[in-house]
Amino acid sequence: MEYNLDCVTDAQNGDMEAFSKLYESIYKDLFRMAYYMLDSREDAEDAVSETVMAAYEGIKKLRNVALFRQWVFKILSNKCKNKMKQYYSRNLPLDEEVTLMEEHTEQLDQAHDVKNAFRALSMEERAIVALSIFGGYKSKEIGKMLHMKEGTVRSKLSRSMEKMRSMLQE
Amino acid sequence: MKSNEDYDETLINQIKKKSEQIEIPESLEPERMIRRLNKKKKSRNIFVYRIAFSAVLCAFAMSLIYVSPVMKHEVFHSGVAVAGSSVKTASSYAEVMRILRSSNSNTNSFGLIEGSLEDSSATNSASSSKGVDGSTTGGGNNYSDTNIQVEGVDEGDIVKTDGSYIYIADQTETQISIIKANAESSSVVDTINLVETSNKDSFQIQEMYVKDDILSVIITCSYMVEKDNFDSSDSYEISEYKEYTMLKTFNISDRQNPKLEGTVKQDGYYHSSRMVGNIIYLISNYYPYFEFSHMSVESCIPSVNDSQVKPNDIYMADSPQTASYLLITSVDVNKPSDIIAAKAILANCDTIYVSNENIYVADTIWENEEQNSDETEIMKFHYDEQGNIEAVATGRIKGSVLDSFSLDEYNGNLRVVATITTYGEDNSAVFEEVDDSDMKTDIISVSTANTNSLYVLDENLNRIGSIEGLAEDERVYSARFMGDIGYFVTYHQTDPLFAVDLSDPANPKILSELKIPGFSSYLHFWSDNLLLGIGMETGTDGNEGVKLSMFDISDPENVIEVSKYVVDKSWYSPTLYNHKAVLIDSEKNLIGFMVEGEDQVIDAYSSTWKSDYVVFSYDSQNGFELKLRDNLYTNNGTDYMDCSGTRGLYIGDNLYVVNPEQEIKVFGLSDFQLKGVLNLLN
Repeated sequence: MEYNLDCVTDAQNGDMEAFSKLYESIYKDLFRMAYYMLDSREDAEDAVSETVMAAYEGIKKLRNVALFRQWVFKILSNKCKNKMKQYYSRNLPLDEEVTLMEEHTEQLDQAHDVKNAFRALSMEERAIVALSIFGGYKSKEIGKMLHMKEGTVRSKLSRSMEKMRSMLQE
Repeated sequence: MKSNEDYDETLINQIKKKSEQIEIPESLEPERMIRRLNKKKKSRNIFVYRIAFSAVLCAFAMSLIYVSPVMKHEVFHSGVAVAGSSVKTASSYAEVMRILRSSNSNTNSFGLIEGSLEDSSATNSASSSKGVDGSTTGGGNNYSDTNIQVEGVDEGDIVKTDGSYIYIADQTETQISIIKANAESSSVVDTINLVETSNKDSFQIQEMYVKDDILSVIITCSYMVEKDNFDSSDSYEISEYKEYTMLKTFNISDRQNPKLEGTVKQDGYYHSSRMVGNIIYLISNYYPYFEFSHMSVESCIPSVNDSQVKPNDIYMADSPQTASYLLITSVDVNKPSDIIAAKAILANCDTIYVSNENIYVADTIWENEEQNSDETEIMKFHYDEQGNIEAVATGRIKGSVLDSFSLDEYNGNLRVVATITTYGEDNSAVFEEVDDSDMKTDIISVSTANTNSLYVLDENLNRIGSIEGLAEDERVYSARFMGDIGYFVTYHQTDPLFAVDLSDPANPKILSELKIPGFSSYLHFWSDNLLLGIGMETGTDGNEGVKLSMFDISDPENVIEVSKYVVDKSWYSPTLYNHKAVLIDSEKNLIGFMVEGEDQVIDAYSSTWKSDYVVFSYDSQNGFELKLRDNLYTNNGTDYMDCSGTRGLYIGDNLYVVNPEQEIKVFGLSDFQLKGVLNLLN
């Protein structure tokens, strides 16, 4: 995290360059988190865009500047979860062509096994793992962000780690 | 000392590194993004939604309450398919696979399943439940038992005692130690190593049960299988991750020479279990891995002891939205290689509650196009002394339940406390007001509202009584029922403790509402007149920490907090989330649990921390008194030891504080002086 709290305050006062610095410090992690949670580049792109817009519009109201990063990640995780809920509740029939297409572009991704590892996780688990890895948050913080008990986060996190570990062992 | 955290560190770094190879879309590159924001700035179009709580709540209160009618169907007996019935069990594997094919994977939704209710053989009798909920531990023995929810329904744990021996599951080393408990002369009698060298699957011990001379251990295992991928245009291999759960039963009549008597296994990852009499009920969640282009019975249908669950033991929804199962099996520990009953439900359920006669499975159905709030589907299965399991009924309520303590069966009726989150028109909850003191953000756009309800469902899970619209803007944090009275806590910034009169199931009534700061996560009846709450104090004046509260409930219409104690330097306790982690015995006057908290401040952003085991007593004159605070571990900045598995237990006049991966400390119950330490590390 290469930003300091002054950046947040400046951004709150309308300093665009400051906001730009803040953005630069987190946009890659934001995208990676959304990408693994949503399993789709396009949706991840949308989610991150919407999140940044929301952060930009809402930054004045952030009282505790030290929590800027957490706050943005929380917005992103909400966006991702809502997108995922929409997938499931629509009960979309599997569009095989779309899947195959996505998978072709994925071959360019070296990180295919990581993607598979995330696919083995449930919606909740993906959010927890993504926040832990890309957000860098501890279980307690994740519990607050996702409105879950810290103990639940810990056990789901360690269970997810177990699952992913076996998938990623060479 | 190696720990799971070390393994996780490496794994996390590995994942981080690989993820760095992902290309970030151009539109998200800083220059492009900032340009877009600048454009937006010029044509400002911000909508600020104020909290529309009252409007949303009004709408909710006036909306019709959903009632699920229970249809009478022919009862289904295990093993016998009912021809042409409308009971929604599968008629064939093909039917199940068709449904799996049309669903998405790994969701948390649960469709409607219609069970059946027939003659009294399948229903629970109207007599009161055999055990009493909420009783204190100890009951006549001179040693403590696991703190369980329903008396008579045992729950597994990582530390158990039978008054002579202490059994400890070390989850890191995958072994069980049997300790002869003899105060300061305690010693390790034997160690059971559960890793099979011939089997390279990854094992983890989950929980244990001990009954007389039988030790039962639940283990989850996982492994990877390389599969051929069937689409020839792709060149990568598919690795399938498989999990299964095992129950291993040992004869420990000779504690120095445990003998493995039998093993059963079932697909999926361990969810929970119970033991009633000699029968263990084992529950797991199973996510089948299958490819749509190549679905087979073997890949789609869960198996138990290597044979697939039969179609008429698979319960399905009308339009299921999930590709995962909940598997429930029963095993007699005297015949530990055999499965008595095996049921599979196409669902991914959150909460299980087991009463003396029934298993209730509760699953959250997220808000969607057809409903504007989350709902919960509850399914009821009856179990008997022989371990048979039969579907009884299904019901649906608005809202979601917190945990098994939110449900309680009494006189055949099921009482449920739920939090209802209603979503407004804009389906994305962008920001939410965060309800703790160190993370206050204002609300920019809100489209969710919380309210809470209590429902009473009859033996067919039809609603017969309810109270709704309680504690707006709060969530249920804990609940406990005792016969005709129920208590539950909701929380936003203050903690109302509600007392409800349930003597007339059709007309539950709020008797009182006590508002105090902080919240209780766990409620426990200390005596007929006193209710103990363990939770957190969340003041803004710096007085934060794990909190004990004692409520005088002699007059439920006038509940008073008679004593309170905030544990100094404590920001977490596993007790808040795991009722088995606390030792409570009102006869011995003991409340024991682990707390984790700040040790020394290093700078503005960090501090060292420590884990302690604390023991309290209570009396009406002096309130709570701290009897013992023993340091389990202090971190020095680099190491990490998770002491959440620490359990306190007493045998006779001795208190044993067991930290499963480290040591046992023995204290005298009269003076809490340390008598001895038994090291568990090899």
